[in-house]
Amino acid sequence: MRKIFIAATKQNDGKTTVSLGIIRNLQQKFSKVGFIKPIGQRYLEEEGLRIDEDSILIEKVCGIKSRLKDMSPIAVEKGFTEKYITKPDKKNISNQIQDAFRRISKNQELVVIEGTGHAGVGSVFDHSNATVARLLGAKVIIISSGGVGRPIDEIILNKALFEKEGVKVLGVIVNKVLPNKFDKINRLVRKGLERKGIQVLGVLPYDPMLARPTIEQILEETGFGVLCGGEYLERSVAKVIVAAMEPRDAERYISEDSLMITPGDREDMIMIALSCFRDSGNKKLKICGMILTCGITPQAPIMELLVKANIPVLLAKSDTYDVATCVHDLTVKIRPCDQEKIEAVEKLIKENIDFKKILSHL
Amino acid sequence: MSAQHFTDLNFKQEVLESDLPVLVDFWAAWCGPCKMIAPLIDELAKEYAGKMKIGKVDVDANPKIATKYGVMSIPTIIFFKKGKIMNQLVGAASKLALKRKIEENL
Repeated sequence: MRKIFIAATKQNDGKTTVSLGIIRNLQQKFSKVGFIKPIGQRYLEEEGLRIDEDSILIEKVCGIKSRLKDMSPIAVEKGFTEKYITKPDKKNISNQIQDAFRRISKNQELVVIEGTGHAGVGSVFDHSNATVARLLGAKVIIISSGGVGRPIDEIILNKALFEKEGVKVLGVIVNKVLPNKFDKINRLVRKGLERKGIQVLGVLPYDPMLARPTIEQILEETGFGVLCGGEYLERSVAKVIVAAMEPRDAERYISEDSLMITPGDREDMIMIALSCFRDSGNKKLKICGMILTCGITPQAPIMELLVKANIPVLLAKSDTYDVATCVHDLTVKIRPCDQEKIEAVEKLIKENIDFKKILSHL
Repeated sequence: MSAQHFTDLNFKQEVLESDLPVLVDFWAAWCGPCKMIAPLIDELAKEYAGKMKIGKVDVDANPKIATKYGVMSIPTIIFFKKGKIMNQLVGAASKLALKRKIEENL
């Protein structure tokens, strides 16, 4: 049975996206592909159990028929590390991971193992990604974000920890490379890593569509209220505008599918937001939604217009700066219902990853 | 009297050469917010008859005028007095907000 461990240089480098794309592509070559995320830090309650959300995503999107708890044996919940430091039990964690892996990998041709954060994450409870990869006897692919100097530095650092555990690093995938810098980075990063004896298995261009949240995701992550337009929460956000300028200037900043953040008493801004592109090829409202801040609900006539506009309008108690920061800091994860994103990921991976090279080393 | 319809052809005569101040509502049939304010524009045309000429420009049928005045978003309301732009309002607006602007531009 072949197995591969997907690691990263840090959180949010795109491990789950790459894992999902790799699995969907490998399912076209192998009929039995398994998945496990031994240690998870963002979990959901599913069937009364705490399951890592990435495992739930992969199970649903890739149709993997394994027990969810086996796909996500260790959930690092609040107080987990504190409890471990007070009373360490390394063997118990190792056993749980190995037992789950045994069940997951039964009758499979290939198993994708997804790590969590950088190589050292989990060291606090004696199960860094490097330790887990060794425990499961898997070779590693390291994912890093785009760039030249920083990814190479970080890859070398992470590789050192895997090698210290005796784990073979198969190669790296450089993710989220800006399209306008793609040719330059692709050339330089390959040359730079090959100089260090590290294989490049793929360089992936950044697709802004994958980073777009829907209004519903913003709502779930922030706990803002819905003022109106609750039936349009699925709208996706391409750009966020903090409307604090003169209204006539604001108009220039609004592009397709912008989310406007403005205090609830800025009627002038709300009015500007309720306008359409003049371009007849783009017959739609300029904005895809609004977040009104400072807990101010607009006056009745403006509220009436907002209700008729058929867009989601959220109300936040905090001020505009806090709301904008909160939206900016959101981590946009792919969800099972994001069909368009899932198809884009499959295509992105198919076109930019050297599967022949990966499989020849497994 | 409902709001008048201004076109590429009659704009100079009806708007730029008008003795009364003029409110021009740039709109399109597919624009939701334009539809929201359309009845308000008609009501205001009646209320301000003799004081201000109030009319509409369909931007799809009259692209020259919309382009000439740099209308990028609709609805856009432009106030003219003696052929000159006095004020501009973008987006949907309540009747109260529109009345306030009209009073400013009489």
